[in-house]
Amino acid sequence: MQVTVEYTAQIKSIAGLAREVIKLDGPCTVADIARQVASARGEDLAGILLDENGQPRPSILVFRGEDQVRWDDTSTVVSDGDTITLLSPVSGG
Amino acid sequence: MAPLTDHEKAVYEWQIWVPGFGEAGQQALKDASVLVSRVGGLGSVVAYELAAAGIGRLVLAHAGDIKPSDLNRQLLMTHDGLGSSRVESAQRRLKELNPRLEIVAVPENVTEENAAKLVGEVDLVVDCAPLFPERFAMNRQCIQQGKPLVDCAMYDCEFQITTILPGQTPCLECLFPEDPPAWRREFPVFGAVSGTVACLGAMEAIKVLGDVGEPLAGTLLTCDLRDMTFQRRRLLKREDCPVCGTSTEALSK
Repeated sequence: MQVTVEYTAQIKSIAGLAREVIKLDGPCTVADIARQVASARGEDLAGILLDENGQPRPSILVFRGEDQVRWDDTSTVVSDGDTITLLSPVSGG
Repeated sequence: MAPLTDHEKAVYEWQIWVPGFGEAGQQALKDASVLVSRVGGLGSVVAYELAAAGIGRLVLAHAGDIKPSDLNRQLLMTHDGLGSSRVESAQRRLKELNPRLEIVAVPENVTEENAAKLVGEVDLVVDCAPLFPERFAMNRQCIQQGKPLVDCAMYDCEFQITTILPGQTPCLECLFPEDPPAWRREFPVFGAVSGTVACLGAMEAIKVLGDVGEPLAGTLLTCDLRDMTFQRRRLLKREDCPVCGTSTEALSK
């Protein structure tokens, strides 16, 4: 199955692209998606997405379609064709 | 409060025509007080739009003097003001636009120490600050004091905006339970990006204060102006949020 992963702001700058389609072996959680793209795209992206224990950082927001999903939500399963957005915290100035 | 004068009715005629707003909405703006922190790329334009719209009183909090790197986006700052106080420049420019406007110019940024007093002086806060500790301090006080908070943010060609209504919507610490470790004080942005989200932030304030339209309550509007993608996203409240949560765990913190 395939899902589209969107990156915003600083995450997009580090990933070097705004979105990509990734292949998954089967249904998974949003945290699994974060770990997969972190693993595929190197330590800079991993550093902004994951903490030292490999857990998604709470300050990164994740959405399935229009709806926010909690990182610890294991009941929300990512399905074929979903769009997952990793939203970087931004600020003013 | 004083009723609208004939002069004010003439100045605001075009927006008084807006259905659902009218003279009652305009009177509400005249009676309202708003904190804008800071008056940089976002806050300059928020303050300017609110001054133009006839807000009665603005509290502007921003430390420091005007630097050359302010001038691409901080539209209340001018070249001839380089080296002088930001809030004094903002006050002068706003008064040129609206001499009826009452302004409290505070040459400080929002901190844990002054947030309670600053938020206590107003009816609504527009958060335009660059550092998360400032934003968290305003958020906590807005939740405690029951004041709406319009939260504006930007980066590069992107922006995010939501309106926090205490007791109804997720708060800023529901979204960001920690000071984001990757966030940096200085970042790329165009003035047209900060100005765009600032106009939306001013409109959110006008909607909440003037009781017109539907604010972005519990909704994050995100936009990438590189390709003009606008998206509305539904946000989750955290029952264990230490600021607004209602769980036993949150209430014990």
